[in-house]
Amino acid sequence: MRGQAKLTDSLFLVFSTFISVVIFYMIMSGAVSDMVALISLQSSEVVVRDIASFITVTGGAPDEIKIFYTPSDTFTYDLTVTNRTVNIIRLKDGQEVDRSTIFGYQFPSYGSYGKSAVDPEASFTNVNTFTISKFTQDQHYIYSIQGLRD
Amino acid sequence: MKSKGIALTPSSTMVQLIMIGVIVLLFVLFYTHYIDVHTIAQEAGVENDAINLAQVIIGNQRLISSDLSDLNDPFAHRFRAVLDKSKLDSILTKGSVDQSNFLSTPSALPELGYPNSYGYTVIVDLETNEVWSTTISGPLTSSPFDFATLKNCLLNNVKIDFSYIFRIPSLSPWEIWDLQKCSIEFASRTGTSIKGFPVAIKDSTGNVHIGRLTVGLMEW
Repeated sequence: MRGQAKLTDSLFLVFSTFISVVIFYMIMSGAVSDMVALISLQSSEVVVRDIASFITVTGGAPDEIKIFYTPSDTFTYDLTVTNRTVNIIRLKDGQEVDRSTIFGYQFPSYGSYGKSAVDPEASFTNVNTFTISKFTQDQHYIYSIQGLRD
Repeated sequence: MKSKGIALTPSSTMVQLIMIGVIVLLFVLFYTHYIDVHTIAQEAGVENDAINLAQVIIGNQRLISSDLSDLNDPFAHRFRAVLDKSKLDSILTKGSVDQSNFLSTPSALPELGYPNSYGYTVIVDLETNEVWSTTISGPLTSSPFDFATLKNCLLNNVKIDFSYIFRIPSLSPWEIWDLQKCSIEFASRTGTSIKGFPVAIKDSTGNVHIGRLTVGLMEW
């Protein structure tokens, strides 16, 4: 009798484990995906690519354009744009969390991280909202980047 | 005591197996998603840059058509992707860039170009078969990188033929194996991408022709 009870218990345990894992995977896979996506979207690698792309696409606008970008409410960023390269340091409570690839010092340069095809220059510390714009002044297009702390 | 030990072993083993299974599952979930995100981010880089560069070119005020010449005029209309033939004639090289001097030809659009990259753009009027082209390059920031050596490597190993891109649009003028050879030589990661976009070309009489803009980009 004891042996039969153990077998039933074991079968129940295996079955319930299987069901639990399936349900856990169904529920958690979406949550994990969202969480990883959120972490990735706020990482310095992704933010630097976003900002570099935004800078470049402002050059594609035939007229004036202004782009507002807030990558995170939790983290802040140090941004440097010089010589068409963009570098980002992600901060949490003023402490560095991670940083993007630094051109010119780290080799290989990993493709296109932090590259813009046009020429604004900017430097900001501890900001989390960026405004990237192009406007006309004295018959020339001017590219501008502003950083703010929300 | 012995029988008790035997009775407890299967269930405790099962619990341990379940815990291992859950840990493995969590690890697999995190690891696969992490790998996916990073792989996509790295692979799409040059492709995205080529697309963005083409978008910048077809929106560049030096090339596109407008109904007024004053840039500050708020009523001026600038037409994105409608290129002005007279501007193409005056700014870009008529015909294809000389292949033998491709890497030495300065860019007609120096205000555009990604750092540590080399590329070209070719614009074809598909109705008259006129061709305009220029090289595109940005500033060099990789300090250990010797651009002159790369040029020599490419010139010695790559056959550049602009006509390929018109016969077979997906074929790169930079042959991949040769590029890889140079990449290995420089111990760097390079990538190439070629993108084509439809454009309109407006001549001085106001006629608009169908055209094609092709951007080739190599980054390291």
